Amino acid sequence: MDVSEYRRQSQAEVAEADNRSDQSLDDAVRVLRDIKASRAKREAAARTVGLNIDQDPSKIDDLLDILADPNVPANQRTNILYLLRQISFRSAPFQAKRPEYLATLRGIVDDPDRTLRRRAVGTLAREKDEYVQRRLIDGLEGRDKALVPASKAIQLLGYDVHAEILPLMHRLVEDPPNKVARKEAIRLLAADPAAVDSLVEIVRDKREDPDVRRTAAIALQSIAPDVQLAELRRTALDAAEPAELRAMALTTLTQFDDQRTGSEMASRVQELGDESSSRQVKQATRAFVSKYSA
Amino acid sequence: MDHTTSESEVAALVDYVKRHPQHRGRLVELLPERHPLYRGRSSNAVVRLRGYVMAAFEQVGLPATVRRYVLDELQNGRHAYLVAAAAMAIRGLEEPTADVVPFLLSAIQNMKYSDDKVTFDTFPATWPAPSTTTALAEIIESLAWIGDHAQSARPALEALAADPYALSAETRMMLESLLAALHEPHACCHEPHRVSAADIQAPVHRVGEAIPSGIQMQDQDGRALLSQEFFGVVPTVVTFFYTRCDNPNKCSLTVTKLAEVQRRLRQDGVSTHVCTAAISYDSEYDLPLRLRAYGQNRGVQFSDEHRFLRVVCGFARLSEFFELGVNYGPGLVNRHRIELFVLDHRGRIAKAFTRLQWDIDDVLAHVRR
Repeated sequence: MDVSEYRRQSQAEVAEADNRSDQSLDDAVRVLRDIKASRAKREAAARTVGLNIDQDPSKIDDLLDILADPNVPANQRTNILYLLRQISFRSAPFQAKRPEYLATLRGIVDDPDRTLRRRAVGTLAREKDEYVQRRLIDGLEGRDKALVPASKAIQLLGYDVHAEILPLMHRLVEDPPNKVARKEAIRLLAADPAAVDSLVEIVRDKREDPDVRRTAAIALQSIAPDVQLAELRRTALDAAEPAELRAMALTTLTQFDDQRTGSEMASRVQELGDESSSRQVKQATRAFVSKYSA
Repeated sequence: MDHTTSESEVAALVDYVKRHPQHRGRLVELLPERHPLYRGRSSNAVVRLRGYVMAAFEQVGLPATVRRYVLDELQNGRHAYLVAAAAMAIRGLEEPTADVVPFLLSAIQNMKYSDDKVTFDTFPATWPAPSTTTALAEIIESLAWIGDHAQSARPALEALAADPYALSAETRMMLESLLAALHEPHACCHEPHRVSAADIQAPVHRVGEAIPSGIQMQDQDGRALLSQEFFGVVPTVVTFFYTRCDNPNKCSLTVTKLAEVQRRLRQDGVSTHVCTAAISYDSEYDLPLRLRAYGQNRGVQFSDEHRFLRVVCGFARLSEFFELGVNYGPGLVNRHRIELFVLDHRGRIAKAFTRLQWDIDDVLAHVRR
């Protein structure tokens, strides 16, 4: 069967299932539990449950049972998790189920299925959940198996400034498991006023990847805006810097620098812009000069 | 015990004291926020430790000196683990008393849409947990333990029962049993005495001493000043906060109420005779722009007499003088209490309002004095 035929068939099944307007909430939950039900039927059942759950909030308990059941295929459980996340947004009765929902999610953070595990961990991390933060930190520290890749773990911990992972982030910047994780760790140093010197060092280090240097420069904005502006001025006026960094520096200075300093720099910026072959630099130069030469 | 003590050692001490309640004083020592045990730990670690310690008072008995910590958590806490622990600790009182009821009702308001399952069976908690409870379940159990002394809570509990979305099925059953057991309040029943911040003033050891001079500060406009240039000239209301505080009952509410204090001072025509200051616990992060935005967003009007301050040099001396109830993790505040001080015209502490919510009228009354 080719793709378009499959799509046509699938859409027809969904339409047929939708047309069964008499499908009760009970039936829909039964379909969601049925591991033999077709995908189209399950999708239709999920819509029925999503739209009508307020009629019988006790059905949320059934959904939580399915989510926790290791005998149900992981992709079905993942879809149930998506459904529960939708319901958690739009259903007032869901509030009463919140404790059970969070406890169920904590119970599946070690699930062998990667997607389900990541979705559960991500949902809990957004709730600033103590248990999942602890598990993510233990994974990064090597005290426990990692629930998600290191870069993802750092991102998820970044949802909560009170997760207090700054010493760990400093260590990961020095000794990262991979490049992506290092960049994520640098990003989180934006919460640490004690990280100014480390970030400046990264911004200035021409051996660093320009993207990493840009991340460090952005992180400085939050904790030391004056230092950031000084570094950006230096970058903007250094013709040996990579074009993307110079363009980023000029764009940021166009937004945030003070009129006097910008005016003082304008003629030099114009000269360097004229010499540059980068379209990005030329464009950023025009914006800068236009603002500060006026 | 200090910052080098492992969490498992603290948990072992708690378990030991549960078996030997005569040593409960060792747990009491761990409750002040300033205790070195909490230095350098994450906020989560502080929640775990304080929660496990506090819950133990249900078994070992709740001494009078600990009540204020428990009431603080019930009134202002937002973390289900700590609120559940505080509610459990109430059942360690020698006998049920009506004056804790308003605090349990505050805790219901704080938790009713953010409740969570918690467990005290293991430390730290592991999931799935064999037996769990929730903050709301523990609060309702404590109200049931208080029994007829909780009659004044009946209208609030009936309103809670009428909210179809606030409670799980289990907690709802507990609430219905409680309501069935609670008698209707008699006409002769009075509202319980409302314990306030003014009633539990922490001992102020610096009576008679003026605020230290030479502390370098910067205000919301970036202006540098020394402590003696602002404090000790006229009476001053001083409070502490930090912009990254994630508990809406603490810093955000404190600053909002401070704006109301300022408004009342203006209304009374004395806003140039009384100063107000909010000082950040998190000076390195709370740069002038952040201070200004945080205050303005909460109704504060700045002037020479009304400023937000960050300490550039000398915070330790300031913290020692006010005996601030704050501690720090690796990067920011990991725990603090609510604290407001009225200083006299010589910069001496005339009144401290700590831990519980302070009342605007109480503060203004002390300023007028």
